[in-house]
Formats: sequence, C-alpha cells, structure tokens
Amino acid sequence: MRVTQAAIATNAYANVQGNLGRLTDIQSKLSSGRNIARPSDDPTGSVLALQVRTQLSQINQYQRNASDALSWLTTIDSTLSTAVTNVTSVQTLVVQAKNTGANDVAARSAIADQIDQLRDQLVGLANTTVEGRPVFGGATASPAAFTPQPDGTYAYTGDAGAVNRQVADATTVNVSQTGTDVFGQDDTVAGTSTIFSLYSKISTDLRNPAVSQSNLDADLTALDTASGKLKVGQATEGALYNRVQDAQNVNERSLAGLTEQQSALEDVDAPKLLIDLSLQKMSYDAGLSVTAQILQGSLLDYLH
Amino acid sequence: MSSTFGGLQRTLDALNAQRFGLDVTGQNISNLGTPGYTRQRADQVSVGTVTGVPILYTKGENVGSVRTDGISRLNDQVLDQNARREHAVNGAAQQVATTYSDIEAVYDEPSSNGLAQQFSQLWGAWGDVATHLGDGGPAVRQTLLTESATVVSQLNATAGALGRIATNTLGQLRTTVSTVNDQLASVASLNKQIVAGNAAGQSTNELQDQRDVLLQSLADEIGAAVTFEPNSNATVSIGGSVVVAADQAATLSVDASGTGATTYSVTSDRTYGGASWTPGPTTLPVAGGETLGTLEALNTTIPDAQQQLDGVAQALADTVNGATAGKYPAGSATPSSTPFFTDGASGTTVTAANITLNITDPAQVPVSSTANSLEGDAALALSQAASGAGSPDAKYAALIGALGTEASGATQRATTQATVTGNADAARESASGVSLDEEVTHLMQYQRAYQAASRAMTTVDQMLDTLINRTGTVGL
Repeated sequence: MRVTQAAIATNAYANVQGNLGRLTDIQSKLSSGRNIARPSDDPTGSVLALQVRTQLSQINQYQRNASDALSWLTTIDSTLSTAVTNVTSVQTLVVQAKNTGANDVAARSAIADQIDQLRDQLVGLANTTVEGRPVFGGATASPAAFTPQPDGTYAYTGDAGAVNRQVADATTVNVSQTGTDVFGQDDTVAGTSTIFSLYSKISTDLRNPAVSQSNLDADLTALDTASGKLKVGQATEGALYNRVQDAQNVNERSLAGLTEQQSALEDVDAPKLLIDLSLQKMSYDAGLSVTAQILQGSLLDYLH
Repeated sequence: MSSTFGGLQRTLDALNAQRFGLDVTGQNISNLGTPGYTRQRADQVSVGTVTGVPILYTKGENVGSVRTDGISRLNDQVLDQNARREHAVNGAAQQVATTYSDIEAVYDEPSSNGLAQQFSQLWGAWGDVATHLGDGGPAVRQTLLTESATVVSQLNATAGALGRIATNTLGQLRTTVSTVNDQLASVASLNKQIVAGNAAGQSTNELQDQRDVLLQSLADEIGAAVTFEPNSNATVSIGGSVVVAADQAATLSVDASGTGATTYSVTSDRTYGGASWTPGPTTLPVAGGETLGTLEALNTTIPDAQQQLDGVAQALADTVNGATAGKYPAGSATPSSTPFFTDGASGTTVTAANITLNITDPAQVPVSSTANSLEGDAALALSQAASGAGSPDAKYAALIGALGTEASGATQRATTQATVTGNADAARESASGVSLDEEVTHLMQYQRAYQAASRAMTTVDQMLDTLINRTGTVGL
C-alpha cells in the first residue's frame, strides 16, 4: 500500500481529534457534575431520571400534605380533650347540685351559671379553626361549625364533606370531623340535641325548683352519652394520626431511596471519570507526540 | 547504423527528458499541501531501439532515445468515486445529527429547569391548593396560577425554539442550494475548458483537480454522483436526475408546497434526457449530502418534534380542563364555566405555541365538585395527575425518551460515517497524494539520469573528436 504524507496527516488529525473529543466529553461531565447532559447521552437513563423526579416531587407533596394533616389532627385532639374535661366538669356540677337539694335555689342558680359558662366555652371549642376553617365543620366554607340561633338552639353550619389529605399513593385521610357526629344535632323531629342545648336544658332544670331528681339523673345519662361521642371522635382522630405518621415514615424511606437512585442516574461517578480522564489524557498526549514525530521525518533528513 | 551525430541528439533528448521530469517532481513537492492536488508524473517513453533496423533508414527518427509523452494525473477513479459516495452519506448523517442535537438543546433534560420539573411543580401547586383552602387559600391559588403561567410560557418558548430551528434550517437549505448552483455552473464551465484543452493538446490536470474539488463538495452538499464521459466531460446527477451535462448546468431552487404542513423539496429548472435538455421544473430525488439532512429535518424531524410537543400541551389542557370543568371555586355557589387552558381564544384544542392560561383571578380557580364547599377534591385529584394515563408528564417522558434514542442513533451513525469517510479520504490521499519520500527519490533518479546523460554526451563528443581530428593522422 502506498502511504503518503497527506494520508498520514489526515488519519492522524482524525484520530487526535477523536481523542480530544472524548477528553472534552469527560471534562464536561466532570465540570457540570451531570452524568446525562442531554437525553441522547443515555435515553433510558433520561426517562428514568424524569420518572424519579416526578416521584420525588409527588412524595414531597405527600409529606407536605401529611404535616398539614397532622396539624389538623393535633388541633382536633387537643380540642376534644378539653371538651371531654368540659363535660366532666358539668357532670361533677350536676352531681353536686343533686346533693345540694332542691331548696337551695341560690346554690343551684350559681351552678347553672357555671354550666352556662362551660356551654359557651364548649361552643368555642366546637368552632375551633385551622387556617380559618372549622375543624368540626366538614368541608364547609362557613367560618363556624355551630351557630347559635335566636330560639336558643345551635344550627350546624358545617357540612358532611371531607377534608381529604393524600399522604401516600393509596392513602387519603379525612382530617376534619363532622360536627353533628361529635357534638350532636338539634332536631326536634328526631328528638336529638347538641351538647350545647343539653347544657342549656340542664341549666334550666337547675333553675327550676320543681325539677325532680330523676330529671337530673336523666340529664347525667345524657351527658354520659355526649361524652361518649366525644371520646369516639378522639379515638377516630388517634387512629388517623397513627396512620398519617406511618405514611410519613414510609415516605421518608422512599425519599431516601429515590434520592439515591436519582443521584446514581444523574450525578457523575467522579472517581471513575477521573481515572478515565487521565487515561484519555495519556492517550491524547501520546497521539500528539507520536504524530509530531512521524510527520516531521522524510527522506530529506538523511540526504546530504 | 545510425547517423554521425545521432548519439549527440539522443543524449540531448535524455537531458531534456530528465530536466522535465525534475520540473514535474518540483511541482509535486511544491503542492505537497495543496488541497485537491493530484500528483503528476512525466511520462517518459523510450523511442525505438539501438539494435535491429535503424530507424534512420525507415522513418528518419531518432533511435534509442527517450521522449516525454505527457504528464499523467495519478488519481484512482474508483477511490475518487468511493470517497464522493461516502461524502454524500456523511453530509446527510452529519446534518441529521446536528438537527437532533439542536432539538435536544431545546429541552434541557433531565434537569431542574426542564418542563418535567415544571409539570411536577404544577401538580404540587394543585396539591397545595387542595391542602390550603382556608385563610391562606388565595395566596396559594395565586402561586398555582404563577406555576401554570410558567408551564405555559415554557411550552410557548419551546415551540418558538423549534420554530427557529426550522427557520434556520430552511435558511441553511437555501444557502446550500445557492452554493450548489454556483458549483454546478463552475463544473459546466470547467468541462468546457477541459475538453477544449485536451483537444488542443494542453495539459488539463490542474483544471481536473479543480473540478474534482468541486465534485467532492457537491457530493458533500447535495449527494451529487458523477460519471466521466470518454471525452473527459463530467456528467453530474442528483438522485439519477442529470444536472450538469457537458458545458450546460441546470439551476436548482428550493420549493415549498402543501397547505398547513409545508413540504420542502429541491427542484431543477430543466431535465436532461437522451442527449438534450427539456425545460420545465422537476423535483430532484435528493439521496444524500447535507441537503438530504436539511430536507429530512424540515419535512420530518422538526414537524414530528413540534407535533409531539403539541401532544404534551394538549394533554396538559385536557387533564386540567377535564378535572376543573364544572367544578366550583372555593366556597362558591356557581360552577366555573371557563376552561383553565385555551388556545388563546375560546377553543380548547391547543398547540404548544398557542396554549394560554385562561384564568387570572385566584378566586376563580375551580377546586371542588360541591357548591359552597372547601372540599378541594378536584384540586386533590389534579395533584395526582402526573401518574394518570395520558398525563402530560407521561407524554413528555415518552417524547424525551424517543428524542434521546433517535439523537443517540443519529450521533452514532454520524460518528461511524465520519470514520468511514475519513478512511475513504485517506485511501484516496494514498493514491493521489504526494509522497515526499517518493518525490525525493525521483529527484535523485532524475539528477543521476541527467548526470549520466551528460556523461554519455561527453563520451560521444570525445568519439567525434577522435573521428574528426585524429582520423588520418596515424603515423604522423
């Protein structure tokens, strides 16, 4: 085969150029820290990276939802605890009134006043809000769950809607409670009443000298039932709280795994690249020096 | 038996021949680095013979001498054709790779700035809207509108960038075609000069070199194929359609046709068949070269990329519009009647270029399927949209995957073809390029031959001296 200077030069240039190109690739990966600079570098890896990013963003969203859910549930828990204490106080007062005797009108009236105070406190508790939303109002847009009416009853101004927080792919929890389930409902037709109306009734009973012991016993029973409803509400909330916390823990682990996967896909493997870089640099240097030596020589060097 | 002074004449011929050989060698060495230069060789032929019947008695010509017949251009037609063919494939492959690389640069993926990330942020914003429907609601919904506007402007910008790639590619196609026209005209005029020069017995090697450079460039640019006629004319054809025959060249132009989706093609203003030109435009079946790459980009690659991006925009509009249609804004009694995304007017068939955010008031963001409610179920559903079938995220990921695969394939083909083309070039350089060692060897050879011929001339001269001055002086 005939070899000419130009052919050597063409080949040498192409090879050295290829070396330099690979060197640039490694250098750009190292300096950017990105393993995939463009989709064609690794088409499968690119798609995976996009999916991992979507999942990461999704789980971060779940975590934000979960912490919001926990703030609702914590509020409900402390509210219900206070409400239970409130009912216990009323029960104590009624028992006290029973023992005072019907004749001591002043003492009974004082107890009735205290019960009225406790009722107002309980209404306040039932209207507790998070971000301006009543936690016992379902999904209502109204600022309060229970609104006092001119006739002395309490209208439920919430609704039966759910305030759903998605805390995992298949886990949605309703963090609000329907006020009527917890505090009862004033309904003359159905014969049901709210705790607040029950308090009003007890207070009226205590102010009535003619009220019988059995009436007060019935009131105590009604209070027991009401307190039971509050405790059911608390238990429901407690179960949800645990569920959200579990979901949060699972999400934490998923986040760690996904972040690791993302890093493996997108970030450069620095030690490997540095070794590649020195190998490539060596090959580039060798190419340059050999090319320079070969292209220098010709027969002319040896003629005199 | 030869003439008395035949010896002198023969050695003079030898001196001339060697000197001319030296000239040609000198020219080769001078053009060691000239692009497109094909090495040349003085063709020396021996004339007659000193033995046998002396030509003196038959034709009256010199015998046993040397004569320079001409100068050969030492190229290899097969290697030249092969290099041109590889250059045609290479031109197209490089152009296709460039197009994909341009399109890839439009999508900055995977990164924190790409559309995928913005979709995620959009769904996250919907999630936050679902979570915060109370006091903080308006602010969070404003953030959602900002995220939506960001996605929209990114889609618009990406569509715009694809449009600019198309515009630039079309500009490049027009420039290439105009260059090709100049080169076709030059080839035709060189054809004329070469044929005329050959007829006049002049050396046309340099003209042929020039023509080969042009032909190679034509192969690179438009995949032109060449056949050489017996009279040295180069006939240039593109995809089988002749564009240069003898001293006539056709003029090419870029043609755009079709409504809506424009199809570009290259047409020639006349056709050559049989032995004559027929006027009238004809579409050239371009089969190689950069032009094939630009045509492919304009007619297929870029429109496909635009279509896929439009699909993503449509999926976004469908997903969000579908989930919010007839839903109630927070605490509102009237359902929303305006679509979230439109085509800029009232239509909901959108493209990436015209998708527009239609809701600007945070209070108008539909979130619930119940009136007067803060349930936020519609917003919550949208926060899950990324994983839904036919979601813009899925379409976008598919687009990036397909683009990456195509681009990676195109780059690999371009790299391989560049190597193949480089090898073809090197093979041709091996045949037609100047080898310094060889030329220096020839230099010595001619020099020694010249010296020897001078020596032969001196010897003949001395013989004649003996004949003329010493004859008859024996014994004097």
